[in-house]
Amino acid sequence: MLFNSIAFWLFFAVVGLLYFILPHRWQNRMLLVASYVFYGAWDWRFLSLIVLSTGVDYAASKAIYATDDAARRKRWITLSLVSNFGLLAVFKYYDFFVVSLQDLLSVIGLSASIRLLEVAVPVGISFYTFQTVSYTIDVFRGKMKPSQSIEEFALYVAFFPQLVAGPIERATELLDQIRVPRRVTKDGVSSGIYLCVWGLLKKTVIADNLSLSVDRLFAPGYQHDAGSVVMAAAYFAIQIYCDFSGYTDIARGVSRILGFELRLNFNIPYIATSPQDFWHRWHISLSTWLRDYLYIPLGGSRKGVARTYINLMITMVLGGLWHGAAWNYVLWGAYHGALLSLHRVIALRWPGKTAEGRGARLLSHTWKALVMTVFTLYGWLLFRAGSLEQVVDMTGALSHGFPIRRFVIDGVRLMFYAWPLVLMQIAQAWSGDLFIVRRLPGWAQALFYVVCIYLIAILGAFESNAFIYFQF
Amino acid sequence: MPSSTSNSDLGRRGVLGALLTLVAIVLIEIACSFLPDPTIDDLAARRVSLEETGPVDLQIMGDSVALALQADTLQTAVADRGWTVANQAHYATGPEFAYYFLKTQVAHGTAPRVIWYAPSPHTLDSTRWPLLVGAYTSPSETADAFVKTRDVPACTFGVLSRFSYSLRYRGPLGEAAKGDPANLRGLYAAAHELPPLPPEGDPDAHYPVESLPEGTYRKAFAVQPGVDRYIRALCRLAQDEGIVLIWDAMPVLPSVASDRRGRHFVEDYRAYLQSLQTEYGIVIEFTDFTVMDDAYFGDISHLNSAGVTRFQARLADRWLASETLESALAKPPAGP
Repeated sequence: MLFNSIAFWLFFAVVGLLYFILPHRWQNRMLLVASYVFYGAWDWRFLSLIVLSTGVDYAASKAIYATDDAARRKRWITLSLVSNFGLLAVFKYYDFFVVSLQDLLSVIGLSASIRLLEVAVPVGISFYTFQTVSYTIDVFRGKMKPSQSIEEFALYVAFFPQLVAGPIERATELLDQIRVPRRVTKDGVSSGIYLCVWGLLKKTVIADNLSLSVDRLFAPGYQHDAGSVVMAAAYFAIQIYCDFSGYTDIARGVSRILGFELRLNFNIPYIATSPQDFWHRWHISLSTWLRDYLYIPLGGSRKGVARTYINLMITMVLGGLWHGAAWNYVLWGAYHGALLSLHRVIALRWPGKTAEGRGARLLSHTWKALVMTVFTLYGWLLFRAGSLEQVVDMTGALSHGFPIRRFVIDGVRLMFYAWPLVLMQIAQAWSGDLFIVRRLPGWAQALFYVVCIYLIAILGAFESNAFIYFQF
Repeated sequence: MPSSTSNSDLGRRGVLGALLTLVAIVLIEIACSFLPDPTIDDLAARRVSLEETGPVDLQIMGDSVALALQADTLQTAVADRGWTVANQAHYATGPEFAYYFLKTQVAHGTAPRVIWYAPSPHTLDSTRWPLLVGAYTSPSETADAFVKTRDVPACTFGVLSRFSYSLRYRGPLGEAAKGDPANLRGLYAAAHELPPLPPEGDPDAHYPVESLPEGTYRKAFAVQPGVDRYIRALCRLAQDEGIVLIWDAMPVLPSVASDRRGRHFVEDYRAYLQSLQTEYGIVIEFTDFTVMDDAYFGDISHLNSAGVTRFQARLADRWLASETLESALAKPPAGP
């Protein structure tokens, strides 16, 4: 049940109607059932994994909280981590590691016949696994008490707006909202509608229409020149951003209508001025998760210079692997790890001066953002390429010719779909307000909505193109 | 950037914005309702015509492929028997349209005595629910469509598109917005009329298997569950009303026939028809697809005029030799 399907909006209409007539306790029960229905619509068999993960972490967190015995607490947290990451390893990474091992053995002249599982990756498994793991770790660290209600905890794990593609919520935030009665306000509903409309536009009008061009530009055997490589990366940069942030906007919008507040996941990422800044703006719920539950436990920057860089690389490589069981994701993670490390070296050795004056600051910011965009685009090339050979081919093509005409035509085609995003991001960046549209007078908001709704109705691509991040 | 706008003020502006949006959309759609609406006009006109024309002996039904058959020519060819012939095939439709069409005919007392039904097999494995609900069914039929299709989202979209010109024509409007207004222009020119058939067979025409679109061709025989429910409803209605339903097929290209033979298509199609025959007593005239040379086709599905002429002559001969038709139409028509 995709957010860009009529089925979802009918489902949400029913859920919303029930939600507004039920008392708080029954609201939670209804949302839990709705969440399981929502997930089961993809493949009801995988519901068992969510139920298993919920049961294990509910029990483990209570057991951890109930004892002061360090050894017992460690046993329970180990059980939680092994079961959660075990499911992830089996369903998402087993085949990848087996094939990689076989490839490695064949290089040294050995062979091994290990059976592959060949099962579909359960939708959203990486998202809800990270969510449940963070909960148990937070209880282990004493940052929160375990939930006393299995219903509330199950809803925290399975809350349908963010179940399959995040944002990855922390129990300290979402579970608290589940516990107490929510307030549905005019502001919450109207901002929720805004997020839904804008998210749908990004997904159906921009991302899905660009996907055809992206597939063409990344097709094996495509004869690339430097211009087409740049354009391929630019198309994909816009596509993945609109696809993922569109999903997140709808998730946040739907939640707001119900009175929930989900985390901000994207904050105008393509105006980032450094790799560090990029990860403060892109998939924020994942980058902060990796920081809090991987980078800092590894020692962060507290164990010397060398360990800092090693920790950065480990964190980003695993962050890349989180996106998918393929070497190009690992490479993409390593690339961003290297960018972060390099930027850290440069920033420590040559700390720049802050530009004075608004004009100078704007110029400096724009220049840095342009440089960072070049690095980001190359990262997307690594991410989207179908194979390492394609990465090599497309990288090599950067030294080929740069036919201006074709580049301009592709650029115009890109802007045909991307102009609403570009205008919106400029307005958001300029005002420093992601909800700038909501500050407009009523008539101007109506104009915005009418344009969005007719763009969605006429240019929106429906009934296809599952959200890219579902596979992660 | 700090802002002094309070949340309640934002909420008020949001509500005002939403209300103005609704008003604007209603006004735009009302304005659009004055534009020519070929699909609605065409399908509505076809239903209205049922009230004005009397019942015929033999009625051709199907989709755009069967629509090419000329009822007048066929009626002349079987003039010795005195049979009246009409072609009520619907462009770009499937069995669900045939069902509601016949139901309306029955209600108006204009149902034929025999239906010669030749749908394109791909229409059994595809659905057209938004068009059905959005442009064809009456309110009570719309409720029935929700039940028969069991596809609430598609029917809901159909209902919405009935009230919204931009949803109804989102395809051509979208193409026009992308710089390709041909379909939109065509829509206004004559959406309900098929392009004129090429006058002569093209000896150079060639439609190899590779040119057949996947999804429509190059696949095994299958029937969508919703379409199956409509087919059964159509057969049941014909049975209840004493209408002889003859199931046949229009000619196909050699490439289509060879591809289908390799997929057990004909056997599966026949087995499906046998099940309908057993349950509803339909008459199966279809044994295998009639194959005609590429030169007789205007495209991968539709006959050109030479093909129509040639096939009509064969069809008229088959009708004249058909014992089923002889016995069904020998009897005087049932009284009103």
